[in-house]
Amino acid sequence: MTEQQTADSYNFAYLDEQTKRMIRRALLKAVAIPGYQVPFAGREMPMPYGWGTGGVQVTAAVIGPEDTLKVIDQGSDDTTNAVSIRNFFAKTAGVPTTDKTAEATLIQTRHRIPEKDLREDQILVYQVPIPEPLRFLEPRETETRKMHALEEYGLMHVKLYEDIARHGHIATTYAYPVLVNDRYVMDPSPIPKFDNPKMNDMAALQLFGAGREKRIYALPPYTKVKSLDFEDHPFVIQKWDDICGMCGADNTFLDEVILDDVGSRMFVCSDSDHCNERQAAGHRGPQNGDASYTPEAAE
Amino acid sequence: MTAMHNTSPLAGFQNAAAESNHVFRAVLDAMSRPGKIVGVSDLAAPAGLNPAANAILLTLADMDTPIWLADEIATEQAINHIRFHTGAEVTSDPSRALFAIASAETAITEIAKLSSGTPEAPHQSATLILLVEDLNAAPAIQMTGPGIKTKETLGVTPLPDGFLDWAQANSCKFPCGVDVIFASPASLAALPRSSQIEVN
Repeated sequence: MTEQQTADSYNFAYLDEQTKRMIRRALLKAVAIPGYQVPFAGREMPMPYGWGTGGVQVTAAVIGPEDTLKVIDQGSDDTTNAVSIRNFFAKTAGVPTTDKTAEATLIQTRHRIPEKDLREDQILVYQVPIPEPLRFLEPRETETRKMHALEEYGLMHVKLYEDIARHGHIATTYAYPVLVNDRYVMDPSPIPKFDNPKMNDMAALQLFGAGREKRIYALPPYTKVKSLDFEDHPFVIQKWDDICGMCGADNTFLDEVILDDVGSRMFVCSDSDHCNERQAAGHRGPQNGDASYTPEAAE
Repeated sequence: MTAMHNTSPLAGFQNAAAESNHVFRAVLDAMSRPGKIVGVSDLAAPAGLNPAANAILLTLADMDTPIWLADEIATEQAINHIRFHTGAEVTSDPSRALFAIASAETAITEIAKLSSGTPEAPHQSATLILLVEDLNAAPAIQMTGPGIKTKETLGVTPLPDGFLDWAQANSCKFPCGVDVIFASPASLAALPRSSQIEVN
């Protein structure tokens, strides 16, 4: 034993080859049956459930030495989850990492789709907490499996209808259910419904991994993905009255940031790479003064 | 002296992690984009198999995946090679196989015995690896469906008699069905069950 564990102590990308084969077979079946959840023998990973163990296993089975990896958590490259997963693969696979969407060949994401259109040579891997869209309506796996087999999705429409009856509109704002290739109702993972339209007809391959629930599913490129709705209550995405305070974008998903304890706030792009790129190109939002922010100047 | 046929396994991957990843990414790319022809690196194949089919088996098969070989492929060397490298069971019952290897000489009645999965578990179906000599963009088969932007064409030669009728019936079973990988010596292309095909 050496004193310090090094990356050489692990197989490439941490997982053993037999585990990778099992995941790879599940991935291929998932791609062949778009939107269907393929069970897989999810392994214990060196991180707790809820931190992306499903996405990490999918990434580990897919990633190769030629890949460049980007990891985002709610659009940001520099939050704990994203940084730790990026470091995990930098250490165990020795691959280059990036925070630029355009430079990545493999992007693992928690709960966002990058604002920039993805290309055919890119793969997007989603971390999924609860893969079964019908789970909160029907807790029994034996029943949900049968409902998918029979294409029995009336219950989901009843749920959306109840939203309308109670709130006057469909109140689901994230993990908004989609119908894939006119066949399977699928949970898009807890992305904001703002991102749902990006899944439709995307040029990149989209893979989904749920570690605790041990399910893998996929969307091949150019697959029809439709958000469920009604003719008189069509699907709409979120809109903001504000624009991004940093880059001035009016067409991105915005996070609200509380600035002090007297109610000041700003909205800023959730996709940090997209926002930085716009700022570097000279775009400025109303709260992005060239003078740095100081409490004195704000008074 | 009589001429001896070599029945020993050939060498497998030199670097299992890197090489199996290359082959998997090629198969994933092909399965995600039906009809796209993807190159695979050369790996010497035992009698009966071709290099691409051999590489796919060494990448994806193991003790969890019974393999069925059509008679013309099941040489002693191929069986020894597959058992040695993958640990997979070589079965004589096509309906039990998760991977099936066939060629233009295989009777379509044998291919029709492959498992299509069940409506509740459509993933428990076979993947057919069909040995072919040539893959090209000739408009012999027109494909539409997930993974295809508008329309894709694929020329495959040779195919078993009745294969295209079988493939059309196969896609009608969706979400059940068999997924097909065409393996020419140096390239592969896929026809997943999700593709609708028209024959010219």
